[in-house]
Amino acid sequence: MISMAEVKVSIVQDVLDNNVKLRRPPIGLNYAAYAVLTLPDGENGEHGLQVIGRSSNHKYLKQLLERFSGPSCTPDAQIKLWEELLPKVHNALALLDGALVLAGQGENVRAVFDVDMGGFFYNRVNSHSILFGATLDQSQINHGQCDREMKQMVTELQAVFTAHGA
Amino acid sequence: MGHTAERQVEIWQQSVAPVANFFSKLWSLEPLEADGAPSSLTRVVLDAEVGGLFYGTVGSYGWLFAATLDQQPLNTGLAEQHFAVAVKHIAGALDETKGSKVRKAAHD
Repeated sequence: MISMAEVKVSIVQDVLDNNVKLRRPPIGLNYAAYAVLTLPDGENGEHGLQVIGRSSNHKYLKQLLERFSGPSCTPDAQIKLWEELLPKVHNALALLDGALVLAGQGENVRAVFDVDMGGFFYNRVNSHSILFGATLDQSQINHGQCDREMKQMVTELQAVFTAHGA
Repeated sequence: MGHTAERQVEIWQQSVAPVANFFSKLWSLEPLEADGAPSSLTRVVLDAEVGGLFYGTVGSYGWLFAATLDQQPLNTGLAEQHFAVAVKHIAGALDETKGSKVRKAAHD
């Protein structure tokens, strides 16, 4: 008997794969991860993040790495860096939210980080989960493709949670 | 929000420092690329519940901060486009000014 939680994880994985791993032609995001917030730990009060689903386009990422960084860089190493970055971005944004209360604009629900070579994306899906995406392809950021893919996945994930409960 | 436009601008001016600190903090999270090469953060878009904030490098000259309370241009991407155009124009104008000064110095 498959539990509802397992069904949801499976649907989340399908959403990520359909928008990243299986996207044809392979453009836009190289990697996406869906994570849920865990309880704050006692030491610093920061929420932890547990990655529930992840998807990547290894072939496309490998091509970009070979073009820009040389053959020694592997997609797995790049993905490991992005996964290490995810909680740091999340906690830095939480701190910033606190500092910007006065601006009266509410919490940050989406953030785009444009770096020299590509960038990464952070979107709140609901109050306790986030979607993180990354690419090494700068042109896909300039043309807004990655942003569109992130928004598409957030919409699909929110629909899943509406149908199956958060 | 219950305050004046002047007050909102004042609040945004006070928001520059926290956003700049956030930017610096993330910049220090290098390396962002698998070969360990430093990769500089050039632009951050912060889409809030109401409007958003933008912060980005203007070439090697400095930074540009922008903000809006209008959610619509954030949803359509128009605000990001305007920010990118503003950065480009300012950088171009500064390049031109710098070029003029170099040419003037060479002429003198």
